[in-house]
Amino acid sequence: MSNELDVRTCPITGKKVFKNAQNLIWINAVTAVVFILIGGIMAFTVAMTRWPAVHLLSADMFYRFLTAHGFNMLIFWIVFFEIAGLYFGSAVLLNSRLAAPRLAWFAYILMLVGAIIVDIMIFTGKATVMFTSYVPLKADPLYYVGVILFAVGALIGCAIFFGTLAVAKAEKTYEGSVPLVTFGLSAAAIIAVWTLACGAIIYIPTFLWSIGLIQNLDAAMYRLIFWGLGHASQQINVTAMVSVWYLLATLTVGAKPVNEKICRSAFVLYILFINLAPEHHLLTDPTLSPWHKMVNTSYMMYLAVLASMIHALAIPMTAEVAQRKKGYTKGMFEWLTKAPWNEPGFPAMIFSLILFGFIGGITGVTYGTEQLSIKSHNTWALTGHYHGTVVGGTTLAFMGLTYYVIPLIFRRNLIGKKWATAQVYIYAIGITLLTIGMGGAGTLGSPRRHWDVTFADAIIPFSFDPTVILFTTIAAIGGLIAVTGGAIYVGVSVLSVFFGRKLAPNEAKLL
Amino acid sequence: MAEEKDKISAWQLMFDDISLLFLLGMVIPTVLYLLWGVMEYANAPIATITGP
Amino acid sequence: MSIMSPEKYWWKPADLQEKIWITIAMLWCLVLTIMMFGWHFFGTQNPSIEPLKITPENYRTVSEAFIAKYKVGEEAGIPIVAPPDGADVYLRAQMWNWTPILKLKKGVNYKFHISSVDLMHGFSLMPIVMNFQIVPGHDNILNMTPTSTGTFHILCNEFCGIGHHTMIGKIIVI
Repeated sequence: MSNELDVRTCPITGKKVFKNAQNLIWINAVTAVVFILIGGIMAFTVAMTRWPAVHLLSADMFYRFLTAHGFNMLIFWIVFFEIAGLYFGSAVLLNSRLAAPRLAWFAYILMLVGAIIVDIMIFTGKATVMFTSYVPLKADPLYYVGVILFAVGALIGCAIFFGTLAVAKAEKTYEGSVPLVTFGLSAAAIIAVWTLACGAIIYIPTFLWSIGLIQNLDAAMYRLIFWGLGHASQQINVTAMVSVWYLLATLTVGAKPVNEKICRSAFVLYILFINLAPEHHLLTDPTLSPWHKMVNTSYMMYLAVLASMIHALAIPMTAEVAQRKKGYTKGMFEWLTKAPWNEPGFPAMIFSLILFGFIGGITGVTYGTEQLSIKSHNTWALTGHYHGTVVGGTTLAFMGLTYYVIPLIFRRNLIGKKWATAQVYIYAIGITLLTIGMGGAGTLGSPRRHWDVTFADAIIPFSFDPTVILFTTIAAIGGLIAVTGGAIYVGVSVLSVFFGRKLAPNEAKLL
Repeated sequence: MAEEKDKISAWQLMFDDISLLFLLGMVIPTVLYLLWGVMEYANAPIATITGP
Repeated sequence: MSIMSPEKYWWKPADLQEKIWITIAMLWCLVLTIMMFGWHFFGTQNPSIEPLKITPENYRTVSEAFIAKYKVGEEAGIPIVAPPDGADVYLRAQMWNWTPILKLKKGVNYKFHISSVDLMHGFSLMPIVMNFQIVPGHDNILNMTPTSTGTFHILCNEFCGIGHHTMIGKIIVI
């Protein structure tokens, strides 16, 4: 392990970067990319199976790989990347040492071991239970152990983030308030703690049930608490993604928040209300009262939606102000047309914003009402919704950020900037088609998590309107394009991290 | 900014206090979502239907 | 820069544009909130509002009695049941079928009790696309009145094991 005091000064931002924080960011980010690779291969097989013209996998393998796709993408890729982000947002942005680097390594190992156990269980067919693992569908007890280990590791990661905030404050490594990006990441970490606590509350009894120590678990109550993990973990993504948007706006056009009060208030609204959103999954459930459903799904009067609306104004605004200061003042939109569209960060930010807001956000708010949930619950349209938020939104933003982290933190020259830029466009087009296909087929009733929408084996014959197959085909082609974009992402980032030219200590080259 | 008061807004101080935000961020969803929901499931009547 | 600490006093009034945007957004959020309660109380097409737990064993007994009482035929090994007008209807989700096949009358209100005797299932009525989560141990009580005649199918849209994609049920409305 490197010396605690080993430190360098970043030639681009002037921040002090401690070696041990840098190493931890490196390992967590690289691990995240490994998991997006696994998840991406699964995405390809799943998309090619749902497409009736190809129907690649057997039913057994399909459900197995679909479980793996969900877990590797929704949890492993994103949480590893977020832990890297949390260490960056605390240690690097605050010029501080990391609170407890040894503990951080321990947390990393817990997460990695947990993830490996979960993947082994899934791929050997002992945990074909989908991402949700609803009881009473039982997986191998080790599967639950893996999930718990991962959650505990991530929880320790969050604790280290808060610890580092405290260390930085005590050692006065910054003046006044923390930077906006750090503030946003604090919101993400707070949301994460509640999320992971829900995970512990539900997975520990589920583990005990799987080894026979508990006889009965209420299946509906499992759903209630599980979604405290399952959906709220996606709220961590939303919050981290918005922070990344602010970060990308700074890195690409040198944007400065126009009004800190507005931006921070929006993050506070996330902290307070966004974790009520898991309710969206329970709208068509029996037993739960309409009052619980309405109060929670409205996130207390849609205040978390208001927060997203505020960010939707504030982020393009920061970019516009920064661009106008540079002299791009002709007409209404010169600031936008003269933006750095030929480097990966700016289009990644804009497409992420559009896909998140217009596809993910609008579908989310509409499907999240009691009556429209009846029309959309568990259909493929839901899958389309969160591929808009978490893939088009979060993943695309994280991909864009990776290309800047490589020179900033890993001090390597990016190999293939043109590929990196093209990747962002390809990915955005792929996800757009994918979500439109899923949304269209789902609105016509195509179910999610389904091996064969032609129902060839069904005892009672049934077939869909052919439009469903058309939309499924659009989704599959979109999926193929997105997988191609994802493959370029993995290729460019892995090549750059391991074989990119090492930057000289004073070299202030970003892209 | 000379004319600005030399006192930081209470809101700004509150927003800088991560532990306060943390507390609120834990309590609100725990009470409104988790506890309320668990209570509803726990208190729901159990059917004793014997025939149609 | 969003990566640098802000100036000392950053709690400042918003600009006019920001105020306009936020006010509009907030008003729209209020409209959505009011509508959410409005749809529930005045729209009256809601998911289950009667809380009821039922053990899978108890539910199976009731559902078997229901089938025995009103059975009129069989298709593909699944009983066809024609309940009298306004009866309580028991539709059982199990791996991997919806039992029984129901024969209902247009314009008559039925009280559906849908539950599962094994895993979680998803009730998805086609082609009108109405979906409900079916949870073992809980009775999803729905008052439904068929408004058109014809054959309707019920898919399962919650993963329930390897045969999930073959799970199809049927409702015939005459």
